[in-house]
Amino acid sequence: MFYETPDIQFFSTIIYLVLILFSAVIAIMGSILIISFFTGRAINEKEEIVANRNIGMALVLGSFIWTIGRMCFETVKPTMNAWYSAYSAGFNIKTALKLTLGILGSQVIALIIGAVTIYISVKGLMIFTRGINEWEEIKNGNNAVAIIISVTVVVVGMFFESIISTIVVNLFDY
Amino acid sequence: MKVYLLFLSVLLLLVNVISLSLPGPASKFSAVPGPAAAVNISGDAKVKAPAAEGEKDHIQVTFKWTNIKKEEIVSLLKIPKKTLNVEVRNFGISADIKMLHPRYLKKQGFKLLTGKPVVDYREVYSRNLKNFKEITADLKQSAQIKQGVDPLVDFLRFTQQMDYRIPPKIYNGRYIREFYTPLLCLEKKMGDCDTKTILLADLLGALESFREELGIVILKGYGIFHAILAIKRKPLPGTLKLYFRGKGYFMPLEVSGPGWNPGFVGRNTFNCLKAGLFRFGTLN
Repeated sequence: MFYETPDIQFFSTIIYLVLILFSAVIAIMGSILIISFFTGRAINEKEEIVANRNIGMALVLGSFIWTIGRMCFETVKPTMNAWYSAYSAGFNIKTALKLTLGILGSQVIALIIGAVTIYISVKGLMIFTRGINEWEEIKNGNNAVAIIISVTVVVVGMFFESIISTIVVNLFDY
Repeated sequence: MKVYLLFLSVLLLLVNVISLSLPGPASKFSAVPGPAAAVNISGDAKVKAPAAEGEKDHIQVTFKWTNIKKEEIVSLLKIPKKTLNVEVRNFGISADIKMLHPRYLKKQGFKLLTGKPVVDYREVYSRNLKNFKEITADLKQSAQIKQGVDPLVDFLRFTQQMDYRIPPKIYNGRYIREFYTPLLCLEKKMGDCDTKTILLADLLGALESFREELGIVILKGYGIFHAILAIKRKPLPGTLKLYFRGKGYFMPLEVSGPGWNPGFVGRNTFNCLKAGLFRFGTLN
């Protein structure tokens, strides 16, 4: 069952690599989308980072990628656990479909919780600092504001991380 | 600054409330061990089959559990009464813990660790191996595990689905340090982390073809006091591995609650292992 065939090493490695790559892609794409949502049309974050070498903007985007990335990686272990169960029970089309849906579902959950975490931390911070337009400050090169936003996002993300694996573990039928 | 700190505190409180409302991983202190998964164990009620003719010297215990293919399995295990009585008599020290002679402790399945009597898991494991030959064969047969097929996952699931309850400190007038010996664990149909860990070790160790090294990992930290089994095996991608110098790679087996395959443990256990807050001892 569990170690019956040598194929398990091969297939598990492929699944593991796909999951990690998928998590990384979701983290990067999701972060770019979220930062575009926050900055709106007034600021072009790509131009700010590439052309203007705005460290503050890069810091904030980096913190977004870090937070969503950590959340997506949290789904990898429970997914692999479900994969080994499926493999040991005998792999067929039905279980393959269920596993694929589970992988997609867990990544989407991670992305949504990551986005909500970032939204809560940034908006929460903005409520307490009324009168300051953080994005305008970051655009003007105020790195201190960028550091505060980044640290808040990362710290709040660390609190929410533990929820992800619990949700994903319960998502799969072990 | 104060407002910023207040904001972070409120968020932390919110996350804790959400985390507490979700079912968590197994630990010594969890009321409901493991994630909410397809668990099907016979429950608190002890189902004992009526003793058949010529089987009065055995206690028959029925277990209902689900195997890896999610099929319901009914296992009828026979525990020899005489052996069980000997086991109960030979485990546990005097309740007032005044007698701490090493030979007495060894005879009673205990040993001294930093001046305190603790369960000698290695001793309990090795002296129970002979008692488990028949039980393991019965379990293997009831689970329809074919010859040459690795029974690790099914045996792990069987142990995981047993009731998680902490044994008493005193049993039969003796101090047992919240540990039931494997036969008593089967008879009672319950156990906590270390009890179930040694039960699984004996189930595996009693297999004729079993040649792998086993070890017990005692974790203490991050609010948990927990035990898991470790088996010397080549780790698979994505699984947790423990490396011990001179011994090689071991794969952890979480027996407390259902939901974990070999090589997967709960978050707190993982953090504890990662921080090195554990002791490891070989069993065979």
